[in-house]
Amino acid sequence: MHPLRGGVAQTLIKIIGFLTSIKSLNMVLGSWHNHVGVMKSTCLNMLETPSLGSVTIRDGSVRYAADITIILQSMNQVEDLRVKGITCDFPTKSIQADATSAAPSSTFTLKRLQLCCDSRVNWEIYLWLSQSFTKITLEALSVSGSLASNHIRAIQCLLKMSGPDLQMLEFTVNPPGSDQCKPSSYLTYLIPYLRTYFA
Amino acid sequence: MCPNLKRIHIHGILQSPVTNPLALVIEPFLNSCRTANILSLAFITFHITLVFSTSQMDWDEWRVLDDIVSEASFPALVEFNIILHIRSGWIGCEEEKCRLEAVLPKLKFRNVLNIFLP
Repeated sequence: MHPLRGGVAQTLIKIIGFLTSIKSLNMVLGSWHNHVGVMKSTCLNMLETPSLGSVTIRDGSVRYAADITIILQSMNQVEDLRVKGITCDFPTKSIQADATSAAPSSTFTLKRLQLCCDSRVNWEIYLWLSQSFTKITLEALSVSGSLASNHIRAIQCLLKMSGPDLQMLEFTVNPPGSDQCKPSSYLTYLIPYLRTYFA
Repeated sequence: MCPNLKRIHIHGILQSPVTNPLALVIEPFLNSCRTANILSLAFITFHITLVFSTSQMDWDEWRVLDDIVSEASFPALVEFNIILHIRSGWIGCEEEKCRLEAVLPKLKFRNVLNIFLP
């Protein structure tokens, strides 16, 4: 989302979105909690564009778990979602508390999910995503980036969430460009969870 | 759990004198799939980066893949792809490809084995 101001941005984005029937959107999230209300509603309106099939959300931060729910539930038509470089500041306790009260979207159409992260990214956002939408039936799941223990938990949740429709699994063992000659720890940690998932 | 899983892609695997992704990644991963009885699996792709200087690869231990990826375990298999990324300046790429093919005769006989040198 570009930091345009108020009604001008809202009008412009609505016109562009609905008149051109956009099919994909690349959204730089920024500090979601610092955006004014009209910018948030403009952004959500954009995500609700009926023709929109593919969304990339990148480079930003979210402070409240409920904000993620609102963003994701605006994407009723979206089949492809790519999440890259998003951090969240809220503690795990609040994720769990909110997850129990979150109403899953019955019309959520997400089919392909691509998660990219580096060591700066808090993967609890993905954990939150998996807990928020229990009815997602993913056809393709792609995970790349560095790994931490909570990342594994998130992947495990996503695998469970994806259900019987999953047709394609894609993992990147080492981050692109890595020249380190070390054991490929990524899948070494992941494989036990995959065993659980496949079993 | 995943009766419709057709494709698996694993990227970023490093093969070097001090790294053995076969034992750490590839073999356990395929064994997981075999144990889980994923009969729908049709496309398996491993992207492997070879990182070494002068020593030749010892592909003998890769023979184990021929047994793991058997017709009984993966009946729907159409393609078993190995993409070898070899660092620039390294000679003998085609020879290594042939040597790897030589230790996977069953996969080659099933006509599912593809080894690429991009």
